[in-house]
Amino acid sequence: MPPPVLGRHLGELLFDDETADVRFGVRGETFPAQRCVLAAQSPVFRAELLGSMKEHAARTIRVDDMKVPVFAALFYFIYTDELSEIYDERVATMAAHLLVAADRLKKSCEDKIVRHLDVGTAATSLALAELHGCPRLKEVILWFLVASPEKSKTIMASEEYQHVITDFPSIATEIVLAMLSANSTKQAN
Amino acid sequence: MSSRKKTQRIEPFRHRVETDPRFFEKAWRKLDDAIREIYNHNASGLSFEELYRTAYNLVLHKHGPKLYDKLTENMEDHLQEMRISIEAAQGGLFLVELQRKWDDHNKALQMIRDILMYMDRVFIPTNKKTPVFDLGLDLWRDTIVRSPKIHGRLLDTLLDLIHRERTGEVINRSLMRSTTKMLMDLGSSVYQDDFEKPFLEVSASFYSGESQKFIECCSCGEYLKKAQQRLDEEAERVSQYMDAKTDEKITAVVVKEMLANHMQRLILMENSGLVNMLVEDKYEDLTMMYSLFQRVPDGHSTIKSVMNSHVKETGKDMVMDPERLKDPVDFVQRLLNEKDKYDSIVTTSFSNDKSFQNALNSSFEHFINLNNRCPEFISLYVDDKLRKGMKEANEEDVETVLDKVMMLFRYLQEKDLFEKYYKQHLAKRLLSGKAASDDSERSMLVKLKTECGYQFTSKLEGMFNDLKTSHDTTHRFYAGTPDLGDAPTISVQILTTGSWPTQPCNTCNLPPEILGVSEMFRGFYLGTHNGRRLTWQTNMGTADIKAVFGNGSKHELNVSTYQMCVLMLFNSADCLSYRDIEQTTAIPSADLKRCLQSLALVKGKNVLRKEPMSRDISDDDNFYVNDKFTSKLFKVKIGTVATQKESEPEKMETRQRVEEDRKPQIEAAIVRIMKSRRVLDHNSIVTEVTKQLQPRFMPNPVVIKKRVESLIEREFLERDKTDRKLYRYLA
Repeated sequence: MPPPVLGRHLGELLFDDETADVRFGVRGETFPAQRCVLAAQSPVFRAELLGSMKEHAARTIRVDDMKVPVFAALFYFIYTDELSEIYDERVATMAAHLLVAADRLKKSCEDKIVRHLDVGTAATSLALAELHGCPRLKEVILWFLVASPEKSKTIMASEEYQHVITDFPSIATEIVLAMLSANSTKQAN
Repeated sequence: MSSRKKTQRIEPFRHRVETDPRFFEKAWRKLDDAIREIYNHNASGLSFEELYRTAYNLVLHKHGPKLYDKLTENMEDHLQEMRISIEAAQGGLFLVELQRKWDDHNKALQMIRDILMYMDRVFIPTNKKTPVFDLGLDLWRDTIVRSPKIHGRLLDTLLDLIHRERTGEVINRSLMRSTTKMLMDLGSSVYQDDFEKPFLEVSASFYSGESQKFIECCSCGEYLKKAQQRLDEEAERVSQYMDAKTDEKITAVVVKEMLANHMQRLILMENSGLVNMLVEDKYEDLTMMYSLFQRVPDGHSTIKSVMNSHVKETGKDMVMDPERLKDPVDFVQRLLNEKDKYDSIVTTSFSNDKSFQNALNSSFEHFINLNNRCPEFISLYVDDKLRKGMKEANEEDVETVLDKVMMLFRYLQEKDLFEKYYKQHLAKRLLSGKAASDDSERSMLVKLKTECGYQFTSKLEGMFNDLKTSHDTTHRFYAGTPDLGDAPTISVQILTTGSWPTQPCNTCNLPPEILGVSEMFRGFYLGTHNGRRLTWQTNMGTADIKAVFGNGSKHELNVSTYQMCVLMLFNSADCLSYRDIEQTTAIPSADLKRCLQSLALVKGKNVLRKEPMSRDISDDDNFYVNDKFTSKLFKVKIGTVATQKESEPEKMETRQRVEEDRKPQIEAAIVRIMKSRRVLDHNSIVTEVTKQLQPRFMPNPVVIKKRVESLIEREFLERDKTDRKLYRYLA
């Protein structure tokens, strides 16, 4: 049996003009796409592009609340099942955006965020994790938080952190508990 | 893709907090309006993406519960409007309107679900709420289908339409289909409680009434046909506009009301029930009965038992009818015909059902053994078929007939009795040269051997071998003995005593011409086989005599040996008295009288004349050659040893011999069993012995008991000291 080629062929349809039956307008830029490929990969796209509302007949669909590179990366994922590596230095940021954009990317995005976790991104990532239901990510961040007292101080001093605590009071409790158990382990040693 | 590769700056993700206090209100208003547009068939103007995003944000900002409650309220309101419209519909439009609104609701519900997909995926599972689509269905069920004014009306409408269709009207089936599909979509419990259960109840009373009506006026076959029609109809109805699972349930209802409740009455119906169908070979009706009653509990077993009783009864009449017993060959032919008849019925109408075949077998076995002359008669039947001049022209037909006879043979419980008769009849066939085809005879032996084992047929095979050997021996005698002059030609059949049926050895003085040649033969034979003894069986031979009568007619007479001895006397005397003949020939008186009867008193074969003319042979009679004898044929057969059924005394004798033969067999079985078991109680011995001997005959428990006692006397067994019913083997 020769190796499967369907995935690769579908990937080659990415941003292909000839076969496109819909276009996405993202902050001035136009991206061609095929309705059925998008519908096949996402029930939301299916409902939108093949449903009975405005978008069904529309030639172009406007997307206002997403940045172009993020949009491109999202579509790259849809057509190839892979997270593109082209934006290495910004990959954590990209991942954060994409986490919001697409649930299915979650695991890959979580991994990326974890790998590039630092005091600057910790608080926001914590909010993301709480909001979008990423318990693993949350656990890693908490661990990171309580690992060193200097880091904790820096993070908890930021404005971001205040927003997070306001929106998710329960996180404060979780952080305290985590600190206490970390201390008791230290004392035991 | 490469043209798009720009290293744009992306700002880090910032978590935004929603601060607008009227955020929910505004968002919900958007959704509320959109839903209204959807229900008004105006969805095409809406932006899916915007609505989806709105709902998404609501859920993200923890407004899931409020959104869910508002949604529920909203849908209820729309449904109330629909309800009013449906309730207002008149007559036949009721179902139409219901269907139309259902379609609308379904389409709307799909779009609502799509918009609220995020809530369905994230909020609902964690809060254990009903998903949007199911919620929509439940609300429809509770607001519309189960609303007081609609619920009863819906059911009544559906049942009324079905009733009308049953009585022959044409109804709108597609409307029925979409309505029942709606109920199925609402959940199988809704379908079952709100439609199926009442439907089945109503159907039960409908069919109860219908079956009552039909059974009063229809014959069994007509009724069954109607039942089958109704079953087919209901199955078709279900496939057209009900859920497939209903098929089984409605079938059960029809079967119960039309068949199970009237089973006895149908099967036993006079003049058209099962018995009548069997008697008149009504294959179609029987096939219907078999297939319909397959679904009724105890259906087949009832048919089997009624059939069995009938077969046993008619069989009993057949075997006990004194008229029928006069012609054994015809008697057996009737049995074979009866077997054929029922075999056809089982094959054609009962799809070769093994249990029915077994039931028939046991019935046949039962009635065939009611008449203990059956073994003899079956043997006579085979004899008839294997003789020269039989009706079946070719070997294949004979084979088929023999196979069928073997089926009857298997039913016999006294196979040893059959063996005795078969031997007798075979001997007569072989010795009188009447066996038509050696191949057929052998074939029958093979069948018997396959059925009963080697012991059954070894002696019979010996008989064939004897004849072959005899033929060779006679040939060698004539080749080796040079001068025999005018001596009559003899053909000798040497029978090994053990293989052939025992015959009493009677006295008979052979005429000198014969005596000479036969003694030469004896000398020749004993010369090569010394240590053996040859005894002439004068009651079994035949002779061909050339006779010239006073009136000039010449004939060749085929007679028995006894008859030959008598006739040859008339070469040297014109008149002989009974006493003379008796004295000279030394033939026993009963045989001699029979012999003279056949020579003098049978019309067309009276080569002798008797004085005085009377019907019986008395000691004072005188005999003369009948010079006025004529016959159209040159060759006249007088002494054919025809095989007839035995007379009463002969029958008694045969039975006695068989009973005697059984005693040692029973004893051998007892000894075999006791040797292996060592200790056994009386009842077990009887059971085991019966099991062992069953293939040959059914031993009588009284006889078994006597044999046990005899074995005790001869010290093969002993009774246990404490328990009188226990026996022990003595080595």
